Amino acid sequence: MKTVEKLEEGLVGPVLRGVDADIIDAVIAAAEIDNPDREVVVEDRGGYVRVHARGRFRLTRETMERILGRPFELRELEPSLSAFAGHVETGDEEWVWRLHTAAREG
Amino acid sequence: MPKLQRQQYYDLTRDMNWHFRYVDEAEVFPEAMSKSLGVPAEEWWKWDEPYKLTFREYTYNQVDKDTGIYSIKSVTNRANLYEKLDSGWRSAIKAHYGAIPVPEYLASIGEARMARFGRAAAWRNMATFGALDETRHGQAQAWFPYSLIDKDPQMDWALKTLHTNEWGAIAARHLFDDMFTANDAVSTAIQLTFTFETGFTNLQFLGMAADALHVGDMEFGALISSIQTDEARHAQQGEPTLRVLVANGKKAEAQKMVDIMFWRSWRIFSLLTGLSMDYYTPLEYRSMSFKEFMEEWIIKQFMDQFKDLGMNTPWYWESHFLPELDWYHHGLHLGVWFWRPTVWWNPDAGVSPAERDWLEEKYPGWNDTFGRWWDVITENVRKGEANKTLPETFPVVCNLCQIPIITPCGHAIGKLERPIPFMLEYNGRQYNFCSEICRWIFKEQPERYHGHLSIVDRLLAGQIQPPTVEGALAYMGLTPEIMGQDADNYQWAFAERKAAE
Repeated sequence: MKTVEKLEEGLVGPVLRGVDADIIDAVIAAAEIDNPDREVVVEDRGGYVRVHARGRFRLTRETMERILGRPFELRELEPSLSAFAGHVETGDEEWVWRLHTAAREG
Repeated sequence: MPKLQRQQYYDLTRDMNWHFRYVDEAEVFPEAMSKSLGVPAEEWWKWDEPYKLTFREYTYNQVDKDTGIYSIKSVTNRANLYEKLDSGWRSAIKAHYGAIPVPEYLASIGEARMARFGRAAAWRNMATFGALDETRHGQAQAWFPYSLIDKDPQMDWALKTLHTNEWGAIAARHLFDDMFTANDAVSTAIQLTFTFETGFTNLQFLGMAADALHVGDMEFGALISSIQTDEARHAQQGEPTLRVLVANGKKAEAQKMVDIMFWRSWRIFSLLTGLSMDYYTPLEYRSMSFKEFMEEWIIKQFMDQFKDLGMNTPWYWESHFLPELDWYHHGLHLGVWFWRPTVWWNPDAGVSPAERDWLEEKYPGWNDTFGRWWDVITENVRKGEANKTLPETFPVVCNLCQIPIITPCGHAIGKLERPIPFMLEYNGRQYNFCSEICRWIFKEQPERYHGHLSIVDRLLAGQIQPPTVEGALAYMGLTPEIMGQDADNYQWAFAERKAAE
């Protein structure tokens, strides 16, 4: 994981509410496991936290459950999901954010 | 009985599209309400929302969200948090509360129109959630300031502003009527949910949430960042609508819708968010400048996504938009502070020596341009002649965005070729504009805009009596306890003298 001061072009993934510390920590930890081929980038702005990767960012229910130690549906992200970068696809087992142009380049 | 996974039944429950046999399709979806642009019904049925949700999930989530924000509100009220906040920050949240809650209700009308006249069942389903979301936003953002009225009478304008003829209220109504109250389903999806919500609302609702947590305003930060979790979902009506349009050869039409509303959004957020971030937020808590937030949310995030869909930056991007990032909201700030009795919050000058250093760092050249005007103001305040810093006349207002025209300012700092407004003759009268782009938007649909009277047109038409500053303040509904004053009672001007000694 690396932390950045400024958003870089081509980064995609969730932007989480700054007041939801449990979900922020869990998403960062899950992101490392669910995106083994990419560097996870975190930008903490206090009121919101970006957890991103370049071109494609994946989050799975299974990993979130393992990290949180309880049953978890991905739709439960919504109350913490203030925004996101990239196009999203929302399935039962995984949510994926991507930018086609960035994925091609990266 | 085994529980079904959502994706096994989702499409079945939301795909209630059918062909009409007893009525004409155009009667069910009139062009004025739907704007199908000739794209056939079956093509609209390919509309597929990226962010999927069932009604059951929706209700669970929304209860969670409201429980969260209302419990924080109850704690912070008990702790008398509001009294401890910086006066400039209070102005920022009062500007927000006056400008936003009632338009949220108006946005629910736009969502409801898409829920009826959107061309795909999946879309209408998402828009139904959107209409409920916007009602929630109206309610929460009216209720939070309502409980602060006994501490600050300007909070009353959270519910009042949009019902007055205050100039900012006229500007907000003009914009929001154009974008959603009086807009068709397709244009609303592209202009409200895509351009305004995926793009610009993040600036105010998350940019200001970032600053709120630093300032210690947990209540405001929790509220607006929670609202944005609804927006993040229902804003996703824009992308599939755009995809259908592009797939059916309507890219140029979609591009123009974005070009128009991108500019209009830029105008209103410069006024609201630009001033709040760069002048009202206490210096020690500013995380980034307005320009830096624009770079993050609009220039990178929004444009990444827009271009990924095969679209282009608006035609005026390099020539008009990017250069304005360095000056436009600074000019507006100068005007709003000078005409401070005409707003429902107390503008914070935000130009103490330390703040000026910050402005110079973030906007190199600020001291030699805007700083010179603030030098004069500062000098007058120090001499005890603050009356010289108050208005006796009216600004000229743009006949499109309804925001005062500041072309003389742009010219004086070398950003515009000429100081005079951009003009247009139409149906025997002259219209004035703040920019070439506002004039272009007007020219694209003059029949839509020409009948509207700006506040200056109303003055000239004799609707504001007496035609003086006092008469205008009364027309705008501003009473003495509401009219804006300097947020810090001019302390910033004397801080400078100390620094110079």
